[in-house]
Amino acid sequence: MNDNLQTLWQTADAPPPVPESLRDRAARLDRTLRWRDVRELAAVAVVALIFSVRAAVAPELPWGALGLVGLSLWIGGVILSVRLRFPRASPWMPLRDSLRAEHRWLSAQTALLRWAWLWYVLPITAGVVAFDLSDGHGRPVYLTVVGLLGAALSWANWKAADDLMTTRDAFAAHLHDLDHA
Amino acid sequence: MSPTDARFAALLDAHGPALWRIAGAYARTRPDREDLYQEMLLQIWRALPSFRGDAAERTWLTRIAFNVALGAVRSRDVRKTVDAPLAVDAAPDREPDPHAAADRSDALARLFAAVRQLPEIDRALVVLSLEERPHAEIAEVLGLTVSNVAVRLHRARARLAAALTDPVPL
Repeated sequence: MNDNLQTLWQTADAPPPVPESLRDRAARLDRTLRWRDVRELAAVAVVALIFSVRAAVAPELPWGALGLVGLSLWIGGVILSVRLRFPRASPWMPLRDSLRAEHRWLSAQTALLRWAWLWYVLPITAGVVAFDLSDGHGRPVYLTVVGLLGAALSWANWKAADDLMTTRDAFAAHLHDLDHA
Repeated sequence: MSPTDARFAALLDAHGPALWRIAGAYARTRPDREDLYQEMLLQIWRALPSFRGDAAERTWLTRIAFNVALGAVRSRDVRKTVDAPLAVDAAPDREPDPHAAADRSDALARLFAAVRQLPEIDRALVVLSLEERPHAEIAEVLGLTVSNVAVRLHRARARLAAALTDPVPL
């Protein structure tokens, strides 16, 4: 590199002072990330617990409740398995390794969102319907609302997958740049 | 002051200006640049307890800076403001002559503008070269081989020269 350019580059102004709030922001971010991870699995555990109790106290019609318990555990298992198989990149990785890990993570998250209707919404919707029927109700308005909510949730996840794909494609483009001299 | 605080302060004393210049290469406006710089500091602060010395401190820090910078370029907030010019100021009090200072400030703004015209990976190579990092260190930061760095850097420099010859309006 031209020495003059290097010299000129290094005459740029000094950075602003470090904000006092940096440590608080870091603590807040750590808390948010920790709770996000816990929240998903806690929701699964709560659903499983509620319907296990329901099945225990109403043993005459337990199959709908037990079905929901099984589905909750299935959903928790999918989330946990994807999280363990596709960890996020550490910030101090070399750029290429970091891009590769983030690309894998984003691909897994995109697939989870894209197919949420199949592994998450459909089983839950079917489970809620089965529970309602097994409870001897089978209320049409209630079941229609559940179906519509399921459709809305599937659509929202599908759209979220589209947004995530834009980011994933940007990572793929950078990786391509790095891999092909 | 805790040992982590002291270590963080020492790191910033030594490498803060380089991180700020890297942020300037990837942000389009002054507020974006400040946000990006703070995000770098945030990630460094969070990662500091896990630094084991597997890489040199400067290399470790620079990796974090580029991982954050390339992540931020994709973010909506930065992309929204692509049309706004970046005010890059030369450091004060080095140039007693105001005309010379203005010329230097103008040249610096053109250099930053030319760097920001480059594709993101080329930009990383050029920025590291402008920071006078040896090829081996650039290779460690980007995850490339040293020979690959040499080839790519040659091409990236040619692109920078073209961008400087035919600059975009500031």
